[in-house]
Amino acid sequence: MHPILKHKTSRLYFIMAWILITAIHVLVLSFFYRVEISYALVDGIIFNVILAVIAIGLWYPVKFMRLGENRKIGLVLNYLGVGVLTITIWLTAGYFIVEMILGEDNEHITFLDQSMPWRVVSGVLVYLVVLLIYYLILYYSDLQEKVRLEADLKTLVKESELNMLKSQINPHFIFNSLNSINSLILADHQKAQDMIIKLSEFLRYALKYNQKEKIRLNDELYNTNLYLEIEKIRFGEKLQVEIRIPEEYGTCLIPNMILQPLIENAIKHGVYESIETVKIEMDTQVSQDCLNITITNNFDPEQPGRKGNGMGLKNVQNRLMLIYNRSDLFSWETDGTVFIARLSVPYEV
Amino acid sequence: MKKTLRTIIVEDEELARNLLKEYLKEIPSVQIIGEFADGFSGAKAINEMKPDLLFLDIQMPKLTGFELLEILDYKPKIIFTTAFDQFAIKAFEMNAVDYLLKPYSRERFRNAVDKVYEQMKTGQEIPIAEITKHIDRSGEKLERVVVKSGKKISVIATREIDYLEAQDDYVMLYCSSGKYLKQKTMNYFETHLDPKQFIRVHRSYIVNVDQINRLELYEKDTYRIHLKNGSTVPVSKTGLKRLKSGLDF
Repeated sequence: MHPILKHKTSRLYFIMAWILITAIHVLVLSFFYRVEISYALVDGIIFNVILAVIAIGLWYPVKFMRLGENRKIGLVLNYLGVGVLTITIWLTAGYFIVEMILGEDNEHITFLDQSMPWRVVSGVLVYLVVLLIYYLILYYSDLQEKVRLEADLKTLVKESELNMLKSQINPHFIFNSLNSINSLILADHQKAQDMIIKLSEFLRYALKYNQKEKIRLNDELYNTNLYLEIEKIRFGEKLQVEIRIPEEYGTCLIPNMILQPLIENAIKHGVYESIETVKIEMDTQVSQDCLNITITNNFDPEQPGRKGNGMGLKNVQNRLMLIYNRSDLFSWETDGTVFIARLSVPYEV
Repeated sequence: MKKTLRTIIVEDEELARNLLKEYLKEIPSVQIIGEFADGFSGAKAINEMKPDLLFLDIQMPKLTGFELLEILDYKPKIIFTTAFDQFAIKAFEMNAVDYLLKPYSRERFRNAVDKVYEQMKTGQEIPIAEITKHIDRSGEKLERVVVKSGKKISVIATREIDYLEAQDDYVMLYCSSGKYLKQKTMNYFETHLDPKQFIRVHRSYIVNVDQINRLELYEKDTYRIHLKNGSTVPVSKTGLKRLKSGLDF
């Protein structure tokens, strides 16, 4: 928990720093004040070892007071109190121990008495420096924590959103398809088998590709087609599909499972809600470094109520935002009895 | 010998209808007298042909299975067939005999038909009004209202309603396309319409706030609402309070 004691290296730096301070202390005493070297050594080692121990201990009031998040005046008063206490303990203990080692009548004791004001000043300085260092450590670790948390949060958000989007295959689609298969088994084995294969292939694709974010347009189209063919078996002539996509765009990269929700939306609001034939059309062009895909379907405008343009379309929008960080890549409109969805993705091969 | 059950199938997918017919082949006492792919034609046929038994899908074009039940004058035994499991409670609240989750087995299907015979033997009959009353318990906001006048069935989006007026046991819905009488109470509409859009301004009136043109002092202490379509609606004291809190003025 303690930032200095926690790591081997920081412990080492701490000890080295205090050896250096002690050395300077001893040298200053013996050179400038002509103190005998053995006395200077005793003085330097005793006072600095005590100070080092106190410096370690100061971490706890710093941490404690930060937790309290006191007001500024309270904080200053607290530190003032801790400072006075710290320096008093330091000097008293130092004086006491040095006196014990050197004896009461030593001439160095006189020097100790005389140098007391300077020791107070240096004690205050060391106290402030130690506080400063602890605050820097706290600030730095806070910053790191924040960066880490933010990164965690971002991946979490991305993951959960992808999961949510992944789960947008309508379970009713699966169960209705299984019901159709159940019916076909009695009427037409071959067709039932076809449908099982297609459904399996589509589900495998939908489950498998959730981690990779982009795939070739051709692959996405292949899987969208599986979905459409399954729906065609269910709805027969009521569902017409025309996909006009030039072959040269087949290798373009698009987010996987991005066309499926658009097709599903077209089927849901077109085919499910209408008794007329519904035609779904898909076109592609390239312009301004973007691959533009347009999906249109006719629908029954007499069908009132029913929340249209709900989750499916919003998910597509969110996903494009997530992948390309742009909100202008997807739009939709209705024109009379035709619904038009426009999708563009940056051109990538 | 079991009593012959005259049966109608209302189901939008051909394969699902085929499955029902296939399963029914081995139960000769059930006789199919009609099959329909949407709620409108289904409702019409049921009212005319009065079948004993109805196989009913829920998600269908034009009318949902539940909406279809609302406009029936005559109530057959009902077996729901659907892929939606979240509607089961609502279905039984409407006294469905059974609720078949797609895909279902031959045994499960047979079991459902047996239940119909059993119910007929014990003679439990529940009037249709009793059944549709139970729909009220579902919390979702009303998005459309199905109204039947004579042979004509209209589906009205609630946002297209200008205002509603109490008329004895009925409520008159005033829309730009005309007015429609629905056998429901004012309280039903007050609790089921979106409260952000519809405010009960009077014991006998609920108003669509989007249609309000202005509020005017009529006599001392009484106000009237002028709607965009030109009609006026009286406002009671509590109605005024509701308007004020609903529209923030």
